[in-house]
Amino acid sequence: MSEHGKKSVGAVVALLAVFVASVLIARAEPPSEEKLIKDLKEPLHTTVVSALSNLEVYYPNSPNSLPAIKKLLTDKRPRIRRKAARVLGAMHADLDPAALKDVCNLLKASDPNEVQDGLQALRGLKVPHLVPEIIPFLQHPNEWVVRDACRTLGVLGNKDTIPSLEPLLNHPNAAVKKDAQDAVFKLKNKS
Amino acid sequence: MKTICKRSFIGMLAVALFALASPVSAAEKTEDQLIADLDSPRAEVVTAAMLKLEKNHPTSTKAFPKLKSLLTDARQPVRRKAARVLGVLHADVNDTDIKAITAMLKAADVQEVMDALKSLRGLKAPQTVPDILPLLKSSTPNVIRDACRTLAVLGNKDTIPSLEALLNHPNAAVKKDAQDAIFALKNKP
Repeated sequence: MSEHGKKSVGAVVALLAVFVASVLIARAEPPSEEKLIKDLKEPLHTTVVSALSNLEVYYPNSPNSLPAIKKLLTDKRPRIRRKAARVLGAMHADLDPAALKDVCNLLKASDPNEVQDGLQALRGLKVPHLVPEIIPFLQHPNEWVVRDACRTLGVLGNKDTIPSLEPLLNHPNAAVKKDAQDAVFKLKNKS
Repeated sequence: MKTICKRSFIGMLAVALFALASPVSAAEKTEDQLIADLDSPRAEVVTAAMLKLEKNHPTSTKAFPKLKSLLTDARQPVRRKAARVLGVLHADVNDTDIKAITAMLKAADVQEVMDALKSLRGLKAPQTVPDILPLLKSSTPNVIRDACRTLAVLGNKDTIPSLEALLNHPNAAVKKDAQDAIFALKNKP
């Protein structure tokens, strides 16, 4: 076989190996819940964040991981506490006042991404009493934060929240205007 | 040197002409022009106009009558997009419009069914809940997921038992959407 032929065969074999590996990964069993909960204590933040993601995807209605996730709300690493809050929101966890306070602390962060994660977490929780804490974010200089505040108020608010949202119906950013409009529609339809 | 100058001039002229002809520099169509485009015989022109109306005029109701008439258009992409835009804009719809959208729930094409479900959750149409419930048994997981999401918006506490069976669905995404819907319905006053 010529040199060129050998190279072609090598390339085809490599491609096949990649294909087989990706099929095997796709078909692999999801990681066990116990293993994922154990991973939450790992020092490597990527392992912890990955475990949190997998718990949300594969065990969305299991309460087993909730105590360990709640502990991560005060983790020193921002990515971990942000993800912990998001997962607790996505799982609609019942949070005690202390854990809720930890989620609300994200709203005081200087990083707008952390504030957004706090707002996104709150809209998955049963916390309508936190509406007064969210309303000031409608005036935030970051438009993404304003949009998330609208969405969270659309879920947690009531008809009394509508006047706070109405000025945003004339916002120069069409996306902000749309989110405010969606929130007002939702709140108007709440009985 | 003269030749180089001439070539540069021609090159710059070509670039300027290209810039003028490019769509970026073309003026955006007005709302009236977009509404006129809804009468085009070309489906792609109609759907493009609807997209622009949704993006650029989200709080205007001027296009609603025309959009509503497109709900029964013979062209599938047109009626699907009309339903989606009316939903996104939270249009006030009457029984005839709702009937046209719920007819899409019975389409053979799952994409049309999903568009109708997405449309309904932007509208004030709780009366369509009985039409949506059978879709929780669809063989297409994405249809079930959209049905869950729409029921979360339009349903009430009585809808919860129909969703509970899905909490053990083999597809994790279906399970999650059912869980989210139950959470939303439980929290309704």
